[in-house]
Amino acid sequence: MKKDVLIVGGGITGLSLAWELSCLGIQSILIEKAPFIGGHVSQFACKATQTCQRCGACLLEDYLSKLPRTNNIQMLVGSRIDSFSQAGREFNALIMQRRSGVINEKCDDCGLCEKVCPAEGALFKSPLDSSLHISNEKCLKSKGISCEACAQICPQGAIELEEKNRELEIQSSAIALCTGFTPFDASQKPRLGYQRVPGVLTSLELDSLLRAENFQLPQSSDGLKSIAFIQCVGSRDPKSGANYCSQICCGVSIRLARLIKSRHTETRITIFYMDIQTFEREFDKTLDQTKNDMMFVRSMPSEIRSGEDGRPEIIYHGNDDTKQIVPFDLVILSIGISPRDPDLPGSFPALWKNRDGFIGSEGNDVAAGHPGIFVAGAAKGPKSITGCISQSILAASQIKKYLDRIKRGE
Amino acid sequence: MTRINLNDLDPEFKHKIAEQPGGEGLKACFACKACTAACPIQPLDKRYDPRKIIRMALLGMKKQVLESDFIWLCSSCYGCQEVCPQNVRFTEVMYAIKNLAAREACIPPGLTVQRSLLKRHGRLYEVGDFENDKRLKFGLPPIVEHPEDFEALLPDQSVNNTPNHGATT
Repeated sequence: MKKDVLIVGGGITGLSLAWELSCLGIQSILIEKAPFIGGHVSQFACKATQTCQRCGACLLEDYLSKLPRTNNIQMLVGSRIDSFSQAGREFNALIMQRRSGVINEKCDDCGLCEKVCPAEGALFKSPLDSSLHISNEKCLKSKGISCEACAQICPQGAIELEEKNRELEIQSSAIALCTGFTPFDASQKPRLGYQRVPGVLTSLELDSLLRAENFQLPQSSDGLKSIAFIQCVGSRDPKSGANYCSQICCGVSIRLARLIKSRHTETRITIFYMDIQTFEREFDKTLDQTKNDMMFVRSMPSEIRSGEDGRPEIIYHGNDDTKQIVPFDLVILSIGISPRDPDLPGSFPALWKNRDGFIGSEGNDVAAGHPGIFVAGAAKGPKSITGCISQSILAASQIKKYLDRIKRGE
Repeated sequence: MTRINLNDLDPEFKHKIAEQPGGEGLKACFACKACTAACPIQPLDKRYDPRKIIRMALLGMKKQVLESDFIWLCSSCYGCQEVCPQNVRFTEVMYAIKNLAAREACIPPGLTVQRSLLKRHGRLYEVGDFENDKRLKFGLPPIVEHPEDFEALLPDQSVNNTPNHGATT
């Protein structure tokens, strides 16, 4: 199959890039490793209170509704580049597509399979359209155990566990890497208690909990509700290899805090920070309004431990110059953006890596270090949703220029 | 709040600390207070506050830092170093500061006494006939002092104890 551009990654960057290219009349094919498109943004909640907080989570749904209107884009989910070669200016990628074990047209969402599945998390729902999927990593079948419990119980015959791989050869003139990021693994900082102290969650987990409707905050026995946000977990942290600001976490935490405050006005919110960075235009005004609603403490905790009443306790140095040990009902670690391995075959050309381990140069350009290969979005460095989209627009225009040059034979 | 006279500050002080082995990370501090929150000494003596010592050093408050007695309070537990996200390695910075203080001859009297004991006896406690008689009763060999190595290691040095030390120790 011949296409103009091969887009790797079906998150907000890949989708917006595909749309922008399509507007310029460029044919593209988008491949996504997960069984559904949407990437990280599909887990984010709309953070509107009475008014829109401009978090950008709804922009994904915008693109998803726009994309079927064009014939210039083809999408392949569950796919990765298996092997790669280059002849002159032409890239040749062999795509391996793993078919999801659930045939969504047949599935009527009766839930029987989820009840019998012995492996936790092996059957999961796409956060976008609640379609059911089988995780290739967690399903026992992939570990060589002959379990077919879900396929046997399904009354619709909608589950096929036989592996169906499809290979597809794609020739393209340009490749755009929109492989996104990995959320910082908060368990790398055991002092902050993640996965060790009950009641400590990451901002990403809180976001996806809030996305689910009717989510209620856990409440302690005396009815008191207090939430703490810890900023810069895995950002501005050379010790964990992240000597950069992740740019999004302050905005995420403050929006989440405002959202919770609007739903539960009696909740006391404390934000522990070392330096609030508001990268978006006019966000400083939002911050000023927020300062009356919640407490900002300029102090990083030294430790988060489980208190005697089972609630997490934060040890920090207070503004009054004394050591404070304060229990909270919920502690949210505002995790940063870490670089992600793009999972490319060994024959793929060597790419630039910037100082922090992201793909591309230190500057704002979208070149990836090899002619015809471009990079955009969080794969290039920490970025907000709107930041990813604006870089897609830049990448689309650069790709168009490059394709025009090739056509002219330059 | 004490006033700081800019004319009394030494702008070279932070560079001097950063030149010492272990002092390199000083200038990376973000003042996030994680070190102070982890410090076991700070709740006992408010004058010893890692974050404040770093700020004083960065401001160039050389006299106030080197001539103080609180810099000697560090217990070397390395708690601050563990929690620091910026890799400041504050315990090592404290060694650098204490080395500078010793070179500038600002050592508290307790340490001066220890130094002279070490130089005279080769150990921190004098071993006399009393101890050796007791050892003999238990069938242990007597201890012979060998201060020669320490004499070479610790040359004569005029040590001024600042009035500050005299007042608190």
